[in-house]
Amino acid sequence: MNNMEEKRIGVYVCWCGTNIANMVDVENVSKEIQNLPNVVISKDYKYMCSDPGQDLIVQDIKEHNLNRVVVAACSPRMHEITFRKALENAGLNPYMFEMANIREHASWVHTDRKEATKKAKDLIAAAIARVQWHESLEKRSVSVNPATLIIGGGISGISAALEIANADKQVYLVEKSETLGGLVSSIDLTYPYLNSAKQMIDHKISSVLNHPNISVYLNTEIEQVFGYVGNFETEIKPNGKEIKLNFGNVIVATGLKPFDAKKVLNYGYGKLPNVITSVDFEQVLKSGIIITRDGRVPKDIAIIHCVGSRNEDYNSYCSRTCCMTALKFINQIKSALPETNIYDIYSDMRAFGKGCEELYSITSKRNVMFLTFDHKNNLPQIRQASYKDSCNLLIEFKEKFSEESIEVPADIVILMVGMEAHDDAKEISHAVGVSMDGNRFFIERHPKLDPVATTTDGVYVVGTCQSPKDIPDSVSQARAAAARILATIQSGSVNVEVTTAVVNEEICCGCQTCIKVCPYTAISFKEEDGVSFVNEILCKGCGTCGSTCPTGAIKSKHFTDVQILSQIEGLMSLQEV
Amino acid sequence: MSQRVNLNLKNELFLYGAKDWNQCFQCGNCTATCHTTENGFFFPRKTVRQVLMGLTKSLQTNIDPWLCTYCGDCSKTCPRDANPAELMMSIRRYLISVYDWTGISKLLYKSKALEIAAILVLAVIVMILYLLYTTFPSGDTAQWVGPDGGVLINKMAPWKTIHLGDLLMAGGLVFLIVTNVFYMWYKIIYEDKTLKVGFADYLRPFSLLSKIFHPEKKYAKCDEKKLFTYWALHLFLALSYALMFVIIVFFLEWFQTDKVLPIYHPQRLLGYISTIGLLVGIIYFYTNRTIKNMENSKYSHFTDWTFLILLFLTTLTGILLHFFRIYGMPQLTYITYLIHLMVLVPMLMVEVPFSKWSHMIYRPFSLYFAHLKKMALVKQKLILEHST
Amino acid sequence: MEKKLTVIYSCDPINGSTDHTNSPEVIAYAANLPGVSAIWFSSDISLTDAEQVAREIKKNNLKRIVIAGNNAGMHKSFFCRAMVLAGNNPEDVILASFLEYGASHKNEVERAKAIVACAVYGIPFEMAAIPEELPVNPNTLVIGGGIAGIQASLEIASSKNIVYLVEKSPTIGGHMAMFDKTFPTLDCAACILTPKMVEVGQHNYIKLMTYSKVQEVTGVPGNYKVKILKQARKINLETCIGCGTCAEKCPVKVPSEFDANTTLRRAAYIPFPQAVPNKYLIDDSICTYTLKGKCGACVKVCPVPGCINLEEKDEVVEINVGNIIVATGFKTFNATKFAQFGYGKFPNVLTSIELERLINAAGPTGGKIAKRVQDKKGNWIFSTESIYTPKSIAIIHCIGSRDVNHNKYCSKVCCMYSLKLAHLLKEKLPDSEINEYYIDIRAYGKGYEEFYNRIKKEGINVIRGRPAKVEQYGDELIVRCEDIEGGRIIEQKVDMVILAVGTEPRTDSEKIAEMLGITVDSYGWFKEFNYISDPVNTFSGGISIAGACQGPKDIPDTVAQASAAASRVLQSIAKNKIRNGIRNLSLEQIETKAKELSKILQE
Repeated sequence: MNNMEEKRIGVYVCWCGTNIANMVDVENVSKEIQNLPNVVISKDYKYMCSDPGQDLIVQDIKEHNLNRVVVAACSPRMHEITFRKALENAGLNPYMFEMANIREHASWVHTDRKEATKKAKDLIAAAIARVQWHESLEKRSVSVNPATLIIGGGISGISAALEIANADKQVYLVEKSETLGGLVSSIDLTYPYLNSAKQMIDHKISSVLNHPNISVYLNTEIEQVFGYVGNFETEIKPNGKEIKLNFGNVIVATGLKPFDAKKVLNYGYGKLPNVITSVDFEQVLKSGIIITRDGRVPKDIAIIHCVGSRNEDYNSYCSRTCCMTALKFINQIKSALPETNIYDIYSDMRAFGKGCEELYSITSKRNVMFLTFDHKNNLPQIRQASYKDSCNLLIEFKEKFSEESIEVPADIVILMVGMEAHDDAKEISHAVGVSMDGNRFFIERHPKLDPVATTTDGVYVVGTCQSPKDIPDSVSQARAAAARILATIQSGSVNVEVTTAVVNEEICCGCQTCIKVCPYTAISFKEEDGVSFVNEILCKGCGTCGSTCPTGAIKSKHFTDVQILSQIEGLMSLQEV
Repeated sequence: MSQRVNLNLKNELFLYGAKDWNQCFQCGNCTATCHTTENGFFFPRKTVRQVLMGLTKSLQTNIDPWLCTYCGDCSKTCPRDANPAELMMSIRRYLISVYDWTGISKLLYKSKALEIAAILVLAVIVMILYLLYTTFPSGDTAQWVGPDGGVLINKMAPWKTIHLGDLLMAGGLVFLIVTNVFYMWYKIIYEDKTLKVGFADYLRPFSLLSKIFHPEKKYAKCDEKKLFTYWALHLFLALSYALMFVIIVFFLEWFQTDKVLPIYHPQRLLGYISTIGLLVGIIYFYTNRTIKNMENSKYSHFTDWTFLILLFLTTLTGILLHFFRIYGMPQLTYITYLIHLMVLVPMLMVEVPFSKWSHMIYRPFSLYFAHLKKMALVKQKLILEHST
Repeated sequence: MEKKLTVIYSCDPINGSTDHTNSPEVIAYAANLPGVSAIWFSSDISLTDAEQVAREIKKNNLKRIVIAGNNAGMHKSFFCRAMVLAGNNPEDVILASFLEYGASHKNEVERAKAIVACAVYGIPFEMAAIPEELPVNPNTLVIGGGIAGIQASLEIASSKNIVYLVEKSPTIGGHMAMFDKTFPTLDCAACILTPKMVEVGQHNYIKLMTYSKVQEVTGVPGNYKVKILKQARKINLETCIGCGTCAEKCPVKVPSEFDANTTLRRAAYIPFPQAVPNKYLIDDSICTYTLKGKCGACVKVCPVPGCINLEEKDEVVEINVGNIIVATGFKTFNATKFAQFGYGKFPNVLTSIELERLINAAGPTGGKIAKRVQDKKGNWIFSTESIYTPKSIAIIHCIGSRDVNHNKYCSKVCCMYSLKLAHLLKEKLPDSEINEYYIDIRAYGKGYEEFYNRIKKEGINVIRGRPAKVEQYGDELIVRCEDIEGGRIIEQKVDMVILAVGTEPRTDSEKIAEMLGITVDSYGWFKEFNYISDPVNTFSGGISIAGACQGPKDIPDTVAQASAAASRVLQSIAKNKIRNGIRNLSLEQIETKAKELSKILQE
């Protein structure tokens, strides 16, 4: 780094209207700051972020040929980008800039004007001390391979594939099983409008299979995806022969699997023949004939909600779709066997989607008995009815709303099983480099504002592998990921993080501690030289490696030791004066 | 012991006039609106629940529907249009048929035909008896008219004869009522094993007497002021009815005189007052049920109508009878009297023990039992006196 | 050979949409389709006796059944059973659901016919109904600057294509900007939103038009001409330095929309400190100068010469775009309609949105939870001086939702935001008693159920039961409710009642729909192309819907949908081709296509 050149720093103190000026004596601050070493000029202004404010900086840089700039204003979260842009416009490297947050950190949180003013000065002094050591960093961008890999051929994968392929971009669709369609192809009707799932998914599958831009690989799994955003690669072995795929983005749409009802002993699933799961019942409905195992037309059918959901013993989360599926079942049963008595045993009726509450109220008009149970403690107990009873099974539990302990007759009991992550979720997460939460669902970058991207650039999670979802929500997510990918493909290149870590190979002792701690698998070991090596494209500059490196061989750009230390010194400097 | 749920109970209740209230999703709005609910009496939600779940046993021993004043607040604000108030009325009909050990009222409620048949049969019986034991004013009508121009009614239909009939009828009524009320007690208090009501408890609750006749206080709590008029008229009608009943059944000798007494004489005054009471009541309730401007008159079971009609006919014939008598028209008097009795007897025999009018007995008793129940619960620390 | 089939025509209502009823036209049309041997009405055949219907099927030896109608699915299982009993394949029961492709409206009879035709030919509707492709203008219009609009704009702009973001109010941010924290992660809404807002404001490819309305849309998909009314801000966006002196001097005060009317703002104002654009403007409707013709206090004090121009007039600009994304969002339910809860009558009955502002550090009391107090004039206001911190608070769910007297639908977000508000209140008033009154807790999303459990552990009473009314005695409110699971009557004395108001369609949603040639459902939410498989597109080409204007939604779903809406736009730009709207397809076109395809299938 070149520290020989003379530092010429410009400091700009912002009033932020009255936000800062009220609690901090900005004029006085900028006057005193003037005297600090290397400060060429120091000014204050009502709104530095306003265009006139920015022009001020640009002009000064030109006139006084400043090579460092400090702005004391609000949080860098607000306006760091703004001022970096300003520096660029003035032909200065944007990283020759430091921001002192004297609004959130001083004016807003203090009540004593004198003290706040003093603190503001310290903060600015620290920024000045730090900015002296800033180095110019160059923005880097990598080109994007227009092809996309989609893992999972369920409704999410299919929707995403069609979306991208219809934009004339290549898609590789990899499916573990031997058919496309996933869970959707196993259901009869969709809620809330009771449309045929088959008619919908069959069409989509055929258009995927016949699409010129989509190559489908069935019975295929992904071992490992190598590379980084824009330039991934992997090897797959569809029916034996090896194929090498190159692609720019990855969509993970591996979906999930139904909960194994055997785990809930109270319900005797697997032991009592007429206790079946919602998955089994979809098949029954498709077959068109609803009968008990011993071939009778059922007189009473009971439905139990929250099987394996909302219960710490199994899964604590809500599976989101079961309630509505149950209401759908009721309507279908009532249509096929109008005389059948239906008992729906639920805890909270979660009919929250568009048209769902309406379906609920229609259903409740159809002579159905809705019963409530405690989904956490003492679950209902199902037992074989005695020959005297008119029914197959008896369900016993304490009904919550009436506070009566009751028994419900049933010839068939349908367990509304929740949804669970696949057993191989962990393998997939390692293969593509996304992280998992406690329930083994993949974690999105931001739960609200970025629900499809992940912390690994170019890798997206959509549909039910991110959390239980119904079809519309899965489709939306799939499309969302598609949009991201199409946008990156069109812009042709993606910017990658500049403030990365670099290994000083002279000092590196090859202990490989850094490799263990790196959350982005960005560090690899160069056997030949016996040193660690940082892949600057995968590196996010989090600094974990730098702090753990025993020899101090790793330096994180823009957060070098000297920068941090001098910032701290700067913070103290004024007291000493 | 766990009860077996039963989907068909609610279907049965449709026969007692219930509308489609399957809609209920148990939000508890009705209970919260209802001014008669207090701890220990979760009402109407819990009652609705018992019906939805077909908990026949709990429903039959349930007293809450009798506490309902049918102000209709719950139905107005129900988020699912489930009409709890109307359901309460249907359940009352159901309960009446439960308390009636003879099982007659069940039949009458479930079939219009039977109800009408019963009325006709009774009417015919009355006619036969009347024709047997009375004499038609034939020949010179003058001899049937007294000096003061009034018909000599006791000559054609001696009060003793009629009185005997009245007493027989009253006896029957009392028997039925007493036994039914006993059965009601058995269901509500005795069968509820959680309750421990000692003998002394039955004697204590005098504070309750006020309770029985103060529902207007509760009405005052309701949003609609017109409900107060409703209750006032309801009370007026009831009292006039009772007054008339007492007079004709127990004081017929004093009431059915050949002599035309002066207008200010209590006999005539009382007669007129109660008649007015009846007329006003009938007209008011008739219009209500036709205009349906209030929650409590939106839905009418056919028994509601038969009762109104019978009562109206009785009153009308009564009035005619009175005037024919004082203006000396023996033959008309004779015939009107016949018709009067032909309507009056069925009205009493059918409506009082087996149908609508029985609530006149059951409601006060239910309040009494409710009070007992509450005292018991408080004593057993199952609820707090004024926890709300 | 032709398979003999019959069409069952059912016209029962479903999910509130009863408007498209038994239309003789559709039936007459269906009767003449090849292979159709009979038309049965669901009303005529007994839908209780499958055996009898099976005999009918055998008698006429029907091979396939098409169920047509609003809620075709409601009868599927019955006819499947009948088919099996008749020895046929249940898979030959085909649904022609009008609702599936939004043809549940009177004036969509043509599409209803098309749907039946496709079903009869055994061709998926989406396969037969493929409109022609048109060239596309790469620019895009996004209507509405809430989180949905922001997200969609950023998605598209990141592909280096121009986006016009039109927002009715003076700033972007929408409802999300008003919230304090977001469930279930409790990160502050402003902290995560404002960076995005700033990004929009500074993005080279986003042309931000705040305080503007879309007036007229003409043209064809791929090339829409849009007239936009730019309301006069009267303060120059370029030169304003946001110093706020104009506001200080402005004499007029009105309730601030951003603070849900809990604070006052001037006629010259900025909606909130982090507004984008971060510039002041003058509210024409209340400005003394515009009303009385004299004042101009702001002009005198403004430090920038010529920045404020009180004579400035609204102007209409015209732009050409290829695609349009509608993200107009929602409005909250007007709680005054619920007389029994006394909102507007009792000063300390608040709506949830008011509480969001009250809790917020930038809110009327600087984040201090305090009851309303009377000012000198006797109006009830929130003030930092107020010393009355509520000791007990009731939160009532489902206000205006799940209620036949108001809105039938569930507003989806209320349960969760109520739990969140309870948490925030508990955080600020640890020893206060907080009761939540709910019907069903709908904690459906990722981490929501866990959040719900956490709230219960925090000592907040979550009570099942819907209160009937709120009464005021003195300055004490009383909430009466049945605790259904606790088996007791509660009469809670509270200092503050929070009404969890539901969401409603914008009042002008129908106008917008008409302007864009898209449809709304019976409530006024925008109708999507196919709720299940295509929830963002509409029947008009190049017009997508995103966010809460399609139906109540929480933030993650809104964001996902907004990005999804962008995908079709980007797709069309990538190919430089866009498909025309299906509503522009004639019945003949669809039918002929279906016929061809079915021929191909048979060979």
